[in-house]
Amino acid sequence: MRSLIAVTVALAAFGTLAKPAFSQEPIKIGVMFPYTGPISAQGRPERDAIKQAFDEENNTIAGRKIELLYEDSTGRPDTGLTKIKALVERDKVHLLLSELVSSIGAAVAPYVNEQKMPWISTVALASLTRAQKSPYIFRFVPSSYQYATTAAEVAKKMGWKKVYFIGWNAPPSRESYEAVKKVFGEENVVDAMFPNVGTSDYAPYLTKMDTSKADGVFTAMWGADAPRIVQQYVEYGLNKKMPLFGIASFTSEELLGDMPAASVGVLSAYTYCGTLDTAENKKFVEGYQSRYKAVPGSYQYMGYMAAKMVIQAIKDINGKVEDREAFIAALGKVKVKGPMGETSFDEQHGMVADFYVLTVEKGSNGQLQNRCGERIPQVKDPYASFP
Amino acid sequence: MMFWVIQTLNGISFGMLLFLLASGLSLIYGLMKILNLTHGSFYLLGGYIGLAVVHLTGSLLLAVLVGSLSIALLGALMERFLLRRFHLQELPQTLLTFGFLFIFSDLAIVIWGGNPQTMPKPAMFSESVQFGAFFYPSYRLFIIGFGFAIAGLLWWMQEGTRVGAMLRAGVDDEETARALGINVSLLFTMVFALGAFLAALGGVMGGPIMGVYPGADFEVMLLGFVVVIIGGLGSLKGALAGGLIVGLLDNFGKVFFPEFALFTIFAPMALILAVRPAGLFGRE
Repeated sequence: MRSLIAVTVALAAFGTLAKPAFSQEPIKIGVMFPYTGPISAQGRPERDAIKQAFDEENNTIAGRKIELLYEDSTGRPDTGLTKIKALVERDKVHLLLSELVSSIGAAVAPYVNEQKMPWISTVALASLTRAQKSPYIFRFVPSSYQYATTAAEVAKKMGWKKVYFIGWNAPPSRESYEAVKKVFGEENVVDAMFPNVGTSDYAPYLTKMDTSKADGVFTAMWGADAPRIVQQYVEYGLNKKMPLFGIASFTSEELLGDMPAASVGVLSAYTYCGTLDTAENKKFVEGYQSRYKAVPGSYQYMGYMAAKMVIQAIKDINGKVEDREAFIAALGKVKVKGPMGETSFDEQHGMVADFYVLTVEKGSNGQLQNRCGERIPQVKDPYASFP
Repeated sequence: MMFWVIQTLNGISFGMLLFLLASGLSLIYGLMKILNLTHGSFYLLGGYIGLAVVHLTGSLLLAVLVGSLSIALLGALMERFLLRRFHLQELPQTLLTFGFLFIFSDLAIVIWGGNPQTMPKPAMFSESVQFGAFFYPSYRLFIIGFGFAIAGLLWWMQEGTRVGAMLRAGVDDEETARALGINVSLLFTMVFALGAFLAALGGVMGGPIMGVYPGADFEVMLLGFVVVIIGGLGSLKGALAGGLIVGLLDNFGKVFFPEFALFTIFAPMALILAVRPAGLFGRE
């Protein structure tokens, strides 16, 4: 009897000891995206996909509960920085899995570096892994130089010689323009136009393109502006004269519903292709559809995979996220096989991923979708060309 | 050559939408001396209501009717129950309409969400017309024709009808008009409703080109004011001329000086203010 008691006590003691001392406390993750404002159509779905990734782990990793704290950046840098400060200082989050807007990224970067707060973002701003780089900042999305260089090289391989460029009057588009110039040579870029974000009427630009005699047109604009320019491109009959090549997420699945039927044939090159036939992609698409009744696109993919990277890193350090140095070291080494293949971070914490050449086509259900063409394996940020 | 024709058509079609907006702004100011800052909201709400009708019924004609008539009613109610209390008190009126601009702007986000939307075009205008080597969307040609038709109709109403005569009398001398037995108070409500109607009409008709999105109210109103400043407050002719001038300046500015697109609109405006402070067709 005494030995039975002794064994029971020993087992009980071992049981409590075996659990990590901090196991009761949940891991708090700050999830800030624009949930209202002009970029809410991308921000909300990305958050939903992040939630999906943690749900797949039953919101428990390495024995610790996961708590996601949501904040709305509204798409504005001042609001975004205030909300990040609230997450870090008031809510005491362990890490940030936040944001996609460039201007907010630029505003938040110095603060998280100073706070030594691990921050995984899907902000395509090239400077996050260059001038603003920090051991605590991870950019899980291709940089503007990275996706534009890839797009330009694909078009060049297709035989384009003279090109026309139209993009937002904003950093990612300006950087894309630099990349296109580098690949084609400045003399082969016939003309470049930079209308403001949210321009509704592209008529003057389109008529100018029509007279340019270029082999094709690059566009570097996203969100609601993408379907709008395609619509007008078709109305002005330009789709019959020059192919349109969208840089980055121009033909992202959530935008295809707003594109006209004549968008068939619009090209792009990016890290997500909705119709790719892999088991992981099937799980991702079906999981998202059953939860949110919509087809996921590249923003959802980016959020989902960024969360998967974080989950793997937390597992690798056995849930001890309080040790930030250990966490960032683990995250830097993580490799995850996801819906589109393996993803990882390079030595400056930029995203390394497979790219696919995408062509808009009409699916069997009559809806527009992306056809997955050539796979370009493990594309890295071109630091050498754009230091 | 064709390049110039097409670019000119681009400018005129945009100018026509500005005319619809500015004519109402101008009429209201001319008669009541109200600087109506809610005008941008009328444009935006008209667009959203039109969009809702198109999604429900698929008919742009119905969207135009429901969108602009419901906003006309809204305008009439605003005038009758609110603005009337501050007759000829410029500051309270301006503040009141400014307040409504914000209220309607936020209300639109609450009801229709923050995502920009595009109005589908009627099927008969989905084709493009070919000019030599260029294609031109037929809907834009329709907008040009429609704009001139509305301009003609307003002109006839103002110059050729009894209501128009009453309106002109009210603009020239409100007190004498009242003394002559003209129901000026009814006229006020009618003109305010007509102004709102025209702005909403611009919102619905412009939907397939410009889209309907949060912030459009402020954007178009800024341009509407430039049109009125150039053309002259209170003048229908001025609204038409100003609309065309701003539409063309905006278009060619974007083509030739893309980096200074706003400059090409505001510089001529400043020039006109310096030379003719009342605008091209305005009265001192």
